[in-house]
Amino acid sequence: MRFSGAVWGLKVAGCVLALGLCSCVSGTLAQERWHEVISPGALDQLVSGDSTLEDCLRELGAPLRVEELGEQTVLIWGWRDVHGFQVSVSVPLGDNSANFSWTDEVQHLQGVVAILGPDQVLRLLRRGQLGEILPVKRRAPRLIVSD
Amino acid sequence: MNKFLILLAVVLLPGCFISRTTVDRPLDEGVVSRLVPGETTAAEVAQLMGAPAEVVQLGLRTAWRYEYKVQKQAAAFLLLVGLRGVDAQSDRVWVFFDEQGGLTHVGTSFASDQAEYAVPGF
Repeated sequence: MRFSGAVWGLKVAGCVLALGLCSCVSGTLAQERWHEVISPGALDQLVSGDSTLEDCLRELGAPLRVEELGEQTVLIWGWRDVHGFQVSVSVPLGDNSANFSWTDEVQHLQGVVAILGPDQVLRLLRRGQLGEILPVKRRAPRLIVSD
Repeated sequence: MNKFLILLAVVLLPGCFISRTTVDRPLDEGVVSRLVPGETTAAEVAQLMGAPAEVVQLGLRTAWRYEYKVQKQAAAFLLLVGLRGVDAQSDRVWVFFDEQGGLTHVGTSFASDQAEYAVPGF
């Protein structure tokens, strides 16, 4: 019984190997690092209502982006850490092919957002997932001319 | 034995590569240290550092970005599994100007030399 199991195992391994050799099945172990991580301790030095633009630049370095939000200035720092495994399966079907992929990749799009008032004093400081902490931009009103 | 090892290497390592990609020119820390808030003007910054990569309007004020990016990538493709590592770092300088074009603030980060070739598992 054990021998039969081993034979089956070898057959399965042989099939996977054959599929891999013809590039039908492939796996990728990926590790990506984008930009420097800002430690939570660096934020402890900054105080809303007290710290200035100069303090923010000194403690956190140059931001990735600077944006205007009404009369306020938004400074954005960000970093990304990706690591995980991905399996892709591609099966030729006539003129087309069917593709399937599975991944356990974890993406950390983390960042820090600092919002400063017109007086260059820090109003708000957030750290977390960039998609959640970025301020929502409002469109400026525009004059609509119609005939 | 040697032939076997060579054959094994050929079969198990059908492909591997390393690459280094850069965007824009390296930033000179010595030049950046010559930028003095309250003294240097926008014209002098442009003369010292060239054209910025980005100009942001902040009301009547402006901010300029200078950046040098380095991305190092290494990968090894085994029989069924590929190992890929990417590390992207940059040197970045933001300079802020007042309404009259006078330099008010300078923010710097120099990390391009920290980019590494890193393959997962090695």
